Parts: sequence; C-alpha cells; structure tokens
Amino acid sequence: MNERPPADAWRACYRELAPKLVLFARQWCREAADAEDVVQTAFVKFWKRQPEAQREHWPLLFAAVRSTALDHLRGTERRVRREAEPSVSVLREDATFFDGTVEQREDAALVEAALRELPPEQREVLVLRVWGGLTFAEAAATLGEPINTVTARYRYALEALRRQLKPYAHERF
Amino acid sequence: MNDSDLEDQLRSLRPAAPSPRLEERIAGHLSTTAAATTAGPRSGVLSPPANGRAGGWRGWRDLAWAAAGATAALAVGAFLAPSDPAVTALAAAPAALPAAAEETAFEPAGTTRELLAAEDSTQLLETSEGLVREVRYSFLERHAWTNPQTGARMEVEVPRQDVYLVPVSLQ
Repeated sequence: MNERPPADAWRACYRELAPKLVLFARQWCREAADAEDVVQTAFVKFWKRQPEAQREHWPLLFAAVRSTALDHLRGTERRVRREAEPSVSVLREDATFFDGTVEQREDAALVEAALRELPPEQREVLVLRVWGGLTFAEAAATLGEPINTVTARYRYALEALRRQLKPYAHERF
Repeated sequence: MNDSDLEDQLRSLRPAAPSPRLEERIAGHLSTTAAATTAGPRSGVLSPPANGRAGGWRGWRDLAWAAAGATAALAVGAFLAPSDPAVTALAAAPAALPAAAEETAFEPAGTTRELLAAEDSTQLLETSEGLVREVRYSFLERHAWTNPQTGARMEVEVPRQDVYLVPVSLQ
C-alpha cells in the first residue's frame, strides 16, 4: 500500500528550488514581487499535481513557472497598452538577481547587466542550465525545444557573456 | 578563459533568496488544499484509465447517462422552440450576424505549452549512434485567440508528446 507523503513534503523541494525558480521567473517579470507571485502560482499548481515530486520532476516545475510567467507578461502588456504607457521594460532594476558578499556583488552586478543584454531565448537557457541546475535534456523539455537548439543557444549565450565581461576579465572573469 | 571557467564563475553567484513571505503564502495555499482533499495523492495526471471490467462498465454507464441527458435536452428544446416560422427567423437572425462578424475579428493571442509529465525509460535502446535511453515528455499546448472588440477569449488545448533519445555512456 502506498503511504501518503507528509503534508509539508513540499518544503524540501521549495527550499532547494525557490531562489532558482524566482530567478527564472524574473526573466519575464518586471519586478521581484511579480516573480514571487508567479512562482507561488506555479508551485501550488505543480504540487497539487505532483505531491510526491522528485528530482526528475523539476523540469515540470520550471516549465510551470515559465508558462505562468508568460501568462503574467501577456497580462502586463495588455494592461500597459490599455493604460497607454510609453514603453515596457521587461527587466527592471528594482532588486538584484543574486545574493552575495560585497566583493561578489560587484561580479553579480556585471553578470546581471550582461544577462539583461542577452536575447531572451539564450538567457532562459543559460539561467536554467547554470543556476537552475538542469541538464540539457531537462532544459529542452522545459522549453519545449529540441535539445540541439537548446545546446546551441547555451553556447551562444556563454560566448556573448564572455564578450561582454571581457573588459573585466583581468580582474575577475 | 574557457567555457568551464566561465561556468564556474557564474555558478559561484547565488540566486537571490525570495522573501520569507513567499513560503508562508505557499504553505497557506497548500494547507487549505490538503484540508479540502480527503482522497489520496493525485500524482501522474496522465495516468491511463483503469482497464478491466469495472472501468468498462463505468464507461458504458457514463455514456448512458450522457445519452439520457442529451435526449432530455433535445426534448426540452423542442418543447420550448417557437412553432411560428416568422418567430423562428427573428430569433435566429440576430445570433447569426454577430457570430459571422466575431469569427473574423478573432486574433491569435499566443500559444503556451505546459509540461505535464516526464517519463525516463530505464530500458536502453541500441541505435546506429550507440546506446540511448528514451525520455518521453507529455505536454498540453494551449492555443488562444481573442477578440479585441468584445474581449472574448477562445482557448484550445491540444495534448502533445515529445520523445528524446539521450545518449548513454557506460563507464
């Protein structure tokens, strides 16, 4: 007989993935608070379907966050058009992407600025792979793209980052 | 600096922690759901329906109820339908015109794809490029159209399955 998982089994998954999921959601959300709302919606929806989620289900969770974030973005764009704001900046600097010591914050600011310059399809692959900890196959499943496409985007993203960070390479990168 | 060094540098940065309130909010949502649910866990949304006599009987019983419902709806519709041909034409005309106009006014509003399940096969397959294992991902694609004039939204959900062959290295 299968035993039901404990009621708070989700907490271990949440504590391991929450910062990664919020960072992933921030690729589409203007503000950190919006990204957290997206993660909340996606996580609750995911956990109701997968109460015994394991490591192999993580791509499902990232995909749920992406889907919810895109819905959120579309809603935001509609609202902005309705309110006739002059422009929408998808990524706004209201909170940083990374935590760290004072020294790390300088590196983090450089990397964050470089990330903002990347094309969205390259940025999401990089975030999934580097900070989300997904394999290429998992990232491909999350994004619904062929694995070769995802691998190529990752290479392009790394190359672009290297170019952007080159001026600081003698100090850090 | 090569790719590996750059990746290491990037990985040394930790994604910013979310606010403590996020965990509380999720806990609140999940606890209310758990309290409302008395059945067992519902993992595996794409699990196949139960086979065998019980499942078959349920299917026939549901079909019978559906047929009975449809018959009842037709009977009520026939009873309530106007018998005067002029009244019928008047009643049908206003519905037909906007329908045709709205049909042309719908615009694609995007497509999303939700990953529902991932199945990683433990069985290895031999191909011309070596051993591979099959990873099967099930998606639900949602195609949406909106009518900007009326705000009406139409969504179609399409199930989809992608199969990846992942090379396996035996060491």
